Amino acid sequence: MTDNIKPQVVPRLLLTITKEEDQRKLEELFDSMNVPVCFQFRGKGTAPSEMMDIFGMRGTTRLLSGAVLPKSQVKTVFEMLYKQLHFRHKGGGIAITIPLNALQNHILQVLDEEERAWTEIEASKKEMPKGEEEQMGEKAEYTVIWVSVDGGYSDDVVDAARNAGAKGGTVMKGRRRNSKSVSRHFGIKVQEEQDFVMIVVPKERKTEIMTAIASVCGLGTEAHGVVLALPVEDVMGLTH
Amino acid sequence: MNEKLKEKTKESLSSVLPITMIVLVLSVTLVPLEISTLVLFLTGAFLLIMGMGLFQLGAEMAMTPLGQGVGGRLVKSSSIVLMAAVCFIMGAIITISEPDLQVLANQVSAIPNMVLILTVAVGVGIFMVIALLRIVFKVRLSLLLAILYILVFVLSCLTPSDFIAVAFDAGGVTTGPMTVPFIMALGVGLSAARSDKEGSNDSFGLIALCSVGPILMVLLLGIFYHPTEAVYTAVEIPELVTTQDVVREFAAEIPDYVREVLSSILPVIGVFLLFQLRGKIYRKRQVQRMAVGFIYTVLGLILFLTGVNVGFAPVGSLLGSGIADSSFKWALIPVGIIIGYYIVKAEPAVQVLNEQVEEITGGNVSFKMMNAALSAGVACAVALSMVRVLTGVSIYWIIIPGYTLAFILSRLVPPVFVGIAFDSGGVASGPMTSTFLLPLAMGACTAVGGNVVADAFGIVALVALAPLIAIQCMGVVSACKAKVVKQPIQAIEDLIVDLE
Repeated sequence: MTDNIKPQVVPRLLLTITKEEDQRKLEELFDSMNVPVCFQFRGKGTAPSEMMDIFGMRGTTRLLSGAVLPKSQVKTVFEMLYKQLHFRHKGGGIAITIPLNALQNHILQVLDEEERAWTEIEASKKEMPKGEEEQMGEKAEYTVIWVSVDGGYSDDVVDAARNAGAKGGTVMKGRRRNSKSVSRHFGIKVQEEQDFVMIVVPKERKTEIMTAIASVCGLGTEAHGVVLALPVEDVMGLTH
Repeated sequence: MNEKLKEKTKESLSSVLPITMIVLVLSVTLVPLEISTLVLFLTGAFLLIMGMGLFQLGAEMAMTPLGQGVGGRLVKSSSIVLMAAVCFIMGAIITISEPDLQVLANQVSAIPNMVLILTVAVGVGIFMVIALLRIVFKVRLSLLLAILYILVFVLSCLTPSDFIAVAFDAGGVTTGPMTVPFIMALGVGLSAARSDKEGSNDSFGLIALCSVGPILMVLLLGIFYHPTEAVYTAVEIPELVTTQDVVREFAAEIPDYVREVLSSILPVIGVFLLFQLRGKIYRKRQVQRMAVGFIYTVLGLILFLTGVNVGFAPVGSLLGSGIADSSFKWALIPVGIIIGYYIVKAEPAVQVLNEQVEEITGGNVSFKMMNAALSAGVACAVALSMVRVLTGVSIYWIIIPGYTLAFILSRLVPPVFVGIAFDSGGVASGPMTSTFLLPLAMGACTAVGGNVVADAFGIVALVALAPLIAIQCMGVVSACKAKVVKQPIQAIEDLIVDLE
């Protein structure tokens, strides 16, 4: 048990999807804000259309970075992302924040200290001009759909989503750990490969797109797909 | 413009332009070239750029997924005998259809072509099986390679000295640009299904093993057949007057390369069809994409090989003899350094390797790092080769300490680097090396008056050796960096705060 005061900071998970070449700039940016980058992994962007996909004109490697930061810092970080990276260009990248329900105490403490230090610095700065505020932190409501399907079915997911009106997504590879299908060969544990697709869509279209995906690659199909939606608070880079 | 297209074009240009610029600069300063030769070269460079981009795109779309899929499927089969048999057949067939091997067989007159080709094919097949078993039984790659290379050196003491260079060439030849992406991806697929943390380490190393196999086989053949010398034809510069002549020159060679490339891709397509029909591992969209990818690969490689063989080879030879003839003989070394630095980027299979490495290591070993290490390594290798050409130093003085150093390093670096390093050795000595660097060395050698076979051919062996050391050095550096960051585990209580 601890007798520390419960920190007042409200944490958010910041997820940015950027081009791979932005890795260094992103790290510098996070460093300058004392935001600890929690994880980074790679995925691939999707092609704009089916024809392009067949001809190999898919998206290039995407870098997904996740960080935990206080809600009060989100606006400033978005502003910096907008200015220093390519977020204002189409396809330059997106950033979303997801609310967290619980977190380790130690991280909360660190965030709390950061927030205190940050608010002191901010108080001594001048106010941002009103016009710029409009551009970041877009007002529309979004949600992120996360689909996990058996390996090889990511194309179907993206097609279904595109037909239902989504613009595109990011595809990642991974494995399903499932005690029943883990087979043992000569001591090698073999697991089923999984494709993960992450699509950010406007809230109104969420059910429509999820239904479209589930009907093509849901649990009742060969793809054994799991489709879920995560709450998103702030977004950037989606409206152009 | 589509971002993928942009990316590929940028990659292509940045790979080929530097070497083009260097040749242009040299042609204006040290080695004046006839305009016709220059036009030949520039056309070749253009074909190279287009071919490279197409090839890499195709490799990414078709070869890599195919290799990974086949590898993943193989590991899941229940019979190890079946796995071994499939690997053996694949390795053998892919080698038999490798066009460079036929070229090599023609060059060695003392050994009947069929015998040479079959022996090498069997060698590759056996070593594919060894590579598979290594992954399954978790044998350390560095240990295996050390044993094999010691065997190589022992055997090379018994073969006629003129033949040794050919043997080492055979190693570089059998892993050609078409098969390298496939074999690499196979390794990734075989080990990707393993969930333990050694899994990704073992993704690499297949190419290294498949390169050593042929060397051993050819050395054995050399001991039995006692060939005297290998025949090498010098590169001829065609007489060209008009631009139409240039086009005709290229057009005349294209059918040859079409045949070569098609014959080397047939076994890969065969493997694809076999696995798809029996196992149905791919979905319709993937099959469509892979078909297009195969077409890209074939087209790209045809363009690339035509451009390199018709445009670059004569120029390489001219440059070499030109510099060696002039009073600036020793300029060969700095020129060699610069050319070696930039040429490795133009090797088609190198970019495929870099991409695999970056993906497997999750970005820890990036494109840039690999390119830098490879460029530095090959630059040194070319410099040393030029020294050999000019002074006639025996190749053993460089190779034996070189490989010893490589094996010492392999004990010090993280295991994944060993695989990557030894694989890049086989990859770096590709078509660019044999069609540009080799004529360069040969041209310089004939001008200086040395023994072409002994002196010039070492360049391929050295280019294959350099990445081993360079990349493992990079591994040492990155291992050191990783140590600095490690922090002591603090006594923190892990309490969870509920924010709802």
